Order: sequence, then structure tokens, then C-alpha cells
Amino acid sequence: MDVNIRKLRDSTAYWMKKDGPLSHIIISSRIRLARNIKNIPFPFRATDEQLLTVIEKVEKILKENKEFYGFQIIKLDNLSPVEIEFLVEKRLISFTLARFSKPYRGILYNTDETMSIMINEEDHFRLQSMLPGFQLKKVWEIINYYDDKIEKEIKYAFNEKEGFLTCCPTNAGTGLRASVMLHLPGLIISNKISESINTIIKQGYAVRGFYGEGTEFQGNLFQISNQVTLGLSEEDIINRLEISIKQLIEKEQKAREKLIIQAKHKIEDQVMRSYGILTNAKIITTAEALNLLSYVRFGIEMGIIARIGYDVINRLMLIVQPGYLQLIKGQNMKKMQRDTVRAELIKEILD
Amino acid sequence: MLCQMCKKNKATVKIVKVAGLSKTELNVCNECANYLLGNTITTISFTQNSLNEILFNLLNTFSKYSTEDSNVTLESEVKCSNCGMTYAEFVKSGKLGCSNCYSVFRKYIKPLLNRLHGNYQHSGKIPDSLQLRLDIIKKIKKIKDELKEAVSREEYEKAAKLRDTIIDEEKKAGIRDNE
Repeated sequence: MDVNIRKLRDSTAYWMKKDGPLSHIIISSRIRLARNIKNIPFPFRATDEQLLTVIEKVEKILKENKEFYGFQIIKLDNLSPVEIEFLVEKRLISFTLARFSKPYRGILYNTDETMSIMINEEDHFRLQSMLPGFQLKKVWEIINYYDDKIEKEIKYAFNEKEGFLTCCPTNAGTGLRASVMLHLPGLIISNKISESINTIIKQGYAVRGFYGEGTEFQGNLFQISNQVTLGLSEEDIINRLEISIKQLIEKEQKAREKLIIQAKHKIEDQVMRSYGILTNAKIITTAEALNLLSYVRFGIEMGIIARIGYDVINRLMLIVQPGYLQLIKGQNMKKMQRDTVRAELIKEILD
Repeated sequence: MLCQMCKKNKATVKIVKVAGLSKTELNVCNECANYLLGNTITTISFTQNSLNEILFNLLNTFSKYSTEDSNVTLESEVKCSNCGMTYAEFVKSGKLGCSNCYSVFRKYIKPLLNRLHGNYQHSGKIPDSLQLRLDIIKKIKKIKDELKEAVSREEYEKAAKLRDTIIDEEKKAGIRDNE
């Protein structure tokens, strides 16, 4: 196993282990910036030599700038399929990077995973920063700082009209996508989720599941992000998204308050049953685990369960996934075996 | 698509039911979705078009027009001299090949981005290096105005000084090559 992958397997990202503002509804805040190097074609049209140049430039920056002290670089070419799947599950890399068929793909990241850069994805660089809870402004500060540092060493593809030039013109301008991961069991249980989510979509935001683009909604988790990247400043994009998210937080809060008054026993029952299944099941799928974990998390959020923290649930949410699970056990496993091992692992951690 | 339950309203919600190893999908309207979801634990997803899909649809409509109109068929042959990307490839993938493609295909990108973002003028962050250059260009413009005024007032000594300043600044901004 790659030594850095091993370290990542055993370490916990900052967004997972610490609570942030409004952690009882918002899991994490994330921003990504799409950037390209001037005069090098975008990755899918670049030659292997050009892609090599891109990754070499990153290695040079890493070596020569004290701001990048403590960052590690992993080259995907050397990894096994399970290790790549694990990086996707850990939310360090995207499906696009995992599937891209060209060489010299990479990921640069710091040890607490608050800042990372995907290399040779759809764009040469995809900077990404993530923090726990609701704090997009803080995330913007971090990512903006590193963006400035890189820009000192590299000439970005940019013009005054279209801003930062990206492979897909829909990302041009700021190249910024801000997203917030929300846990909305209250709206789900009280059947108000469709209405609430449709409002968000009408406001021009994209709604995705836990794994991102093209995935289903699991574990009552919703990832909401901006689509407009051109014509607004970074601060405006973030402010507008925050306003919409705040409305959604209020709706979830109200739904929870109502539930605790009208259906206290029913909620407690659902939470404790979920905990019961998680700590007793012998076979469990990823989807079932994520849904049950959501209800245990709901129990913590509502003060029904006190002895478990969000950090434990966050960690479980990641390690129940197939790639992570196989990495922990250090072997490839068939689905049936995974479902058994998953059940054992959850029980072990929760007990 | 019509709701598969009531067959009356437009289907807006896709319900994916995961039971053990089997998975079933149902496209329904909001009302039926609420009825169906009840207390069961399910995963749901909403019908929404991502920007890429919208872009893709727009591009395809554009290309249809151009093939119907014989005068514009040549457009599919527009090609980026830097990376070799053609208009046809752009329409097919929705992706550009390099930064130069933006100038080559601007004519087609502009209406698309206008529709998607409601705007076609970047107003976010500007790279520091470029910001410096933009500032100098602004400064030069100002000195040029002063120069004009000096000439009109026949203050030739002042005009000569201003001219030298402009040359210096232009060199700094990389606009004027060092002869």
C-alpha cells in the first residue's frame, strides 16, 4: 500500500473531527476553484509531456514555498483501483479525476485535509478547501490565500471578459463552486423536503447527494452549491448562497421543533431502533448503514443520544463505504463479505 | 413525464427504493411523493438540469440550426489554431481545448454564457500580475490625456517629459518592446 494512502486511511480530516458553526444541521462547507496554466491546453487535449509539465510545476511550488510545508503529493498512476476509490470516498478527489484515462493525475493536500489541489482533472488545477459546519467565508479565506501563492509562481489562463478560463465554459469567470452539506432529517420526516429543495433549485442552485454529482440522496444528506460563476464576485456568490442556506436551516429547525412536540416518542423510537440495528446487525449494506447513521446523528442533534459525538458518526459515514472498508481490512472483498465486515466494524466503533 | 402514480400531474420527483439488493425507480409528482415517502426510509432525487446539460442542449440546438442553414454550415469547420479543437467537437463535448479556444469560439460561447449566468463580464478576482498591468494601462491613459492637453497649450517641454514617462510605463506593462 502507498505510504501516504496508509497515513490518510488512519488520519481523520479536520472537517470530520471538529464541530463547526451549526454542526447540528450543516456537516461541512467546501469551496473549489478551477484554474488552468496559460498556454498549456486543458488536460483532455494536452499531450502526456504537457501533463507532466503541469505536475512538475506543482512539485516545484511544493518544494520552494514555505506556505506548502507539510503538504503531500500522491500520483494516481501508482495507485490500485481500491486506493483511488478510497480517495473519492474520502472526498479528496472527484469521480472525474478517478476516471480520467490520462497519466500524471495527482492530488496535493495538507495533513488535516483542509486544503487540497487536484492536478490534471478537467482543469489543470482544482483547488479545494473544506471545513466543518457552516463557515464558507473562512473557507474562502483559506483557498484564496493558496490561490494567491500559486498565482505568484504560475501564470493562470485569464482574460478580463471571461475571467479564469476553464475547460467547460460553464465554470468560467470566478471558477468558483461553493457547496454546503446539510443533514435534513426533520424536513424528510415531516414530508416538507420536496417543497424546500424545489425552492432552492428555483433560486438557481444545484442539489446533489453525499457523493456529489450524479449520485442519489442517502442518509438524509443534501449538498447544495452555486451554478452561476460569471458576472458575480466571489464574495457575492458566497453571500447569496449563504442567504438561501440560512432559509433552509430555519425550515429544518422549525420542522425539528415541531417534531419534538408532536412526535417525541416516535422520533426517539426511530433513533433508538436505528442505533439498535447498527449495534446488532450481522449484515449491512452501505445504503442501509448511511440511513441508520443519519438517524443516530439526528438523535445526537436532538439531544436524545449524548454519549456519541458527531466525529464518530462522520468517521463511520466514510468508512462504511466499499473502498475505505477494503483498505482498512487490507484486502479486496466481495459484496457479501463487505456487508458482514461492515456490520462488525460499525458495532466495534459504536460499542 | 407524467406522474406514474396519479397519471395527472407532471413528475418532478424520482423515488429510488432500495430494498435489500433490489432497486426500483418511480417518477412521481410532489403530492404522490409525499404520500409514498410517508415514514419509510428511502433515497430520493429531484429532477434538475445541471448547467452542463443545459449547455449541451443549447449547443445541440445551435448546431441543428447551422446544419439547416446552408450558409452557416462552414461554422462546423471553425478550428482553434492552437489546439486544433473544432466547433463540431466543442458542440459534441461542451468542452474547450485551451484558453485560445475562448477567442476562436467567443461568438458561440457568449450567448450561451449570457443565458446561463445572465452576464458576460467577469467581476471577481483578478490575478495580481494582471491587476498591476491593468493599473499601469489606466495610468498611461491618464498621462496621454495630459499630453494632449500640454500639446494643445503648446507646452512642448512638458509634453516631451510626459511622452518619456509613457514610454517607460509601457515598457513596464510589457506593451512596448524594448527596441
